[in-house]
Amino acid sequence: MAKTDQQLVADYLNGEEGVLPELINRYLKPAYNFAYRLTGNAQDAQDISQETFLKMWKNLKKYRPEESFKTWLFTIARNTAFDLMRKKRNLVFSDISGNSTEDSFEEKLADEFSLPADEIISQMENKKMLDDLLAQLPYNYREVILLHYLDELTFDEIGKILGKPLNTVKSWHRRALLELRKLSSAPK
Amino acid sequence: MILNQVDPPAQLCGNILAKIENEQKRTAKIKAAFSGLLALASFIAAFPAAGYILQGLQSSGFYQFASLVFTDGGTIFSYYFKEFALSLAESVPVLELSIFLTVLFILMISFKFLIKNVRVAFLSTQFN
Repeated sequence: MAKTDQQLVADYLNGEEGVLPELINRYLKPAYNFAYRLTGNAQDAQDISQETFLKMWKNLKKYRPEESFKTWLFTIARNTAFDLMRKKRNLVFSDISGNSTEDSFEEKLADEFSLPADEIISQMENKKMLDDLLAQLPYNYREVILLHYLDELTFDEIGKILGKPLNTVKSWHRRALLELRKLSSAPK
Repeated sequence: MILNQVDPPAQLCGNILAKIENEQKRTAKIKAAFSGLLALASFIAAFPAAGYILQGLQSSGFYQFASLVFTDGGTIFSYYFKEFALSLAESVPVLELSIFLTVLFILMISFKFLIKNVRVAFLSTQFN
């Protein structure tokens, strides 16, 4: 039976250095994909992944076992990606959409008529189209979509990673889906 | 899961482990340098500390009391053991002894960390 993340961390801190590759391999693919989809650049994704796991290793003693390891690691990944993109000036303030949770008419309409995420995303003609549309989303909306649909994190976990209230995350998710639907149906 | 995942480059995990190992060695070299300096300083300090304790033993009369064991040992252990033991204990230069033992302790601990960090910095290859 595979050890839990907490057991692997405890083993490493007790001197079993050999468990570190197992811990890294467990989350390398999800972390890389998150960084890749966020930046759209394979080299940046590699740099972010390396930096993320280096920071993870440096801060293992600070990790609290009662907290989800995945959430903790993705918080590091998210902050590392944000810092890198800001340094490269790939991110400007206007790329991040507003924090207001005040419902617009569109959102009220969306509440009335549900937003089936599977349907919206499956309507994308192909994977490349989806990647292109995701790249057009504001940075924070993109983060929510990736963390929820790629990394299968709950909104509560995403809120902890982003340092935002649950309602804000849900609101960003709803707006992201609306935006994706709008972008996918826009004339080419 | 709706979004498909791509495979990271094959060498990425190796690169990450190499980076961690380099960072471990860099940190170990810094700690080894610091431990080395501390070990050297405490080794040098041990000599005056030892001189200090010897001086203290002489001036407190410890040697005189201790020599009684060899000259009148029978009498002392038979009749005056309690008084002798108390006088001997009182004449021990506690401050000088504490200083010497502290210096010795720092020397041993810093030497231990020096050996440990030199092993990590220069000898070990952990992730293959």
